[in-house]
Amino acid sequence: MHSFRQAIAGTEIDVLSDGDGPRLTILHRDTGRAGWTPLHARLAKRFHVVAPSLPGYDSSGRPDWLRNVTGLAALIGMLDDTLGGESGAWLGLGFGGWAAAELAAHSPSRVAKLILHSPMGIKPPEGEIFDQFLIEAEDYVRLGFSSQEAYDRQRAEEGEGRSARLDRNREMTTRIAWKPAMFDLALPHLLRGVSIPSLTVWSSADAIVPRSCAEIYRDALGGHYTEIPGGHMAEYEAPDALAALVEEFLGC
Amino acid sequence: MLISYFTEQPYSALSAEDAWDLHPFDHPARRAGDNVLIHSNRFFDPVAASRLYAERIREYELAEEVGFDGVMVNEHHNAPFCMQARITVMSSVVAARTKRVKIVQLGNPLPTWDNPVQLAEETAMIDMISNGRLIAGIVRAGGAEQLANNVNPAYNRERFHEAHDLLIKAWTVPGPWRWEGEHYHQRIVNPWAVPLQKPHPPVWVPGITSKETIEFAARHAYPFVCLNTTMEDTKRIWGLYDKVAAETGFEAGPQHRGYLVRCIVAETEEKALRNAREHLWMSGEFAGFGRPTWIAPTGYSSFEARTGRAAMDKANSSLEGQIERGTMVVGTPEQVIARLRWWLEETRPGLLMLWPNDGRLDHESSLDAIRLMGEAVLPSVKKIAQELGLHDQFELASG
Repeated sequence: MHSFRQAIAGTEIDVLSDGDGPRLTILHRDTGRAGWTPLHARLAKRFHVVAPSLPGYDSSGRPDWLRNVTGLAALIGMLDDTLGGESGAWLGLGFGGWAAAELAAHSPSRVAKLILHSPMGIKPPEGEIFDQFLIEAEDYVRLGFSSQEAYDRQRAEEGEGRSARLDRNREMTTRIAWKPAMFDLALPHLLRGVSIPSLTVWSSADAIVPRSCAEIYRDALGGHYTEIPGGHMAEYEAPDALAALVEEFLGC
Repeated sequence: MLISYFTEQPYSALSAEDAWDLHPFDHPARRAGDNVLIHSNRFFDPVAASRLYAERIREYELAEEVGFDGVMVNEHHNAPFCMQARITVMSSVVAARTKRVKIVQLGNPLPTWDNPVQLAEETAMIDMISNGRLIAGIVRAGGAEQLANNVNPAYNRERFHEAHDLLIKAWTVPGPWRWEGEHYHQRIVNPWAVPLQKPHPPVWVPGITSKETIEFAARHAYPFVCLNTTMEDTKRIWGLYDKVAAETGFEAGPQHRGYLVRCIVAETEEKALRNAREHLWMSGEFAGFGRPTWIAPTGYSSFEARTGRAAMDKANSSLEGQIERGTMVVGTPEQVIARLRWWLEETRPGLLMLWPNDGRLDHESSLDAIRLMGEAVLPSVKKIAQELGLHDQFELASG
């Protein structure tokens, strides 16, 4: 696995990458990228996986001027430009799905194919995106797991420094997605003008993002839709199921 | 010395069971014992609250009658421990119902205002209607206030500074002019309501131990009011304030030092202790201002400051501990005077806020406590302050 930092518009972005094949960029959730997850590991067997920490998250620099997810997506698009080659596929997880969708809406040429897992970013017509700011950061992570065992394992694997990392990531989410809380009212309208092959996946025990969000994405993008078991944190709870869907959709 | 009367104005009609228990209609994030922010307002009875407002206002009138120099008001949201949902409303009421006391706002929650020019207008009106009795305190407001008002906590301090600058300018610089800042944008600022006091009403800053807020107050020579801090913290705060004041170019004195203390007085020690327990139930152990992530949401201050604050709140909450540390002054008039003397000698404030009534203390008991303070406590405290040379800014200005 390779680790490097790339300066974009004055912000240092931390990137992990591994594997050979077509490029697949994975954008993490609002809890950040704890490391190379089982999902990354499996996908890196067939793709050149690029996994940045979004600006302001984990060890990436924080652009203090950034105020919204549209700007965040613009920075990630610029990072993609520095990697060269043709446009690749994007997999956005939860909050990262919102960022990937913004990128698709504003820079469609950068996105060859789009896969979204339990994406935020759209006001759900039914249910609510859980308001993480009402509970402790660690409790929010726990809510993302349907299995206590999976949660305990992930927490133990990460070890020291987790509280500060989660706090820093939550602060960045606060800075750019506080109001409206975790969605952009323009996004579903813009996505109707996007003609990118897409797959939206929702986890059937997701306690953070309601199904109706994923359904709106499916309808706006006119793409494929499916569900997998488990909670919001599919990269830990259902990495094989999600990876298999990605591989099938991308034709590998 | 300027001595003010304070109560949070608790919604004392709330039962302990309703406050503590879980309920089927609770917000999904509520845990047993969460009594602010998301504790359902279905427990709020406007009939009972109407009676309580009338009682509190009568208590303010009595505070003036018995010799208090000021009535301190504040603002909290979604909070059973405080019925003052808008400080400017209660300030207006005090302005209309009293003749002499200062209206001590501690304080206006600047970052929660999306248009600080409206605050400039409202405070100017209060200052004129009260014939120049307004003290316009300003605060960042606690974390739960950001959540209740849906104001981004990550920009709280930036908004506080910018709203302050805009407020002062709106009070002092004739319009019309335009304001294009980072968080506030006003096409035309030209309020036809400006303060009676010149250049503007006194500004005080209450707080706890936030270094940045203490430095802000000192840089502007605004009195800083320690909100029921421990002796150790209070001395540390004055050390920092004095240092920044010296760097800024003035010598800080008692006129820059305020202290708010829970002060529960009764004819007997036993009764005072009973009232103190009630006081704490509502404003300490009970409310406790909520869970750590509400008290100080992510971004509101640094990670280290927030985790330290949560530990401090928990450690300081018991009645016995507070009495021992002196953050609760409880007893007969003689006992209370002795304890207050200790505070005055050790920390030398020129501004004192006494907080005698809270919890479910009934109206008659509250009135009794105010009367007893007026008769048997205030004259002695004033005498001690005189003896120690603890003068407020108004005494100094009048020579």
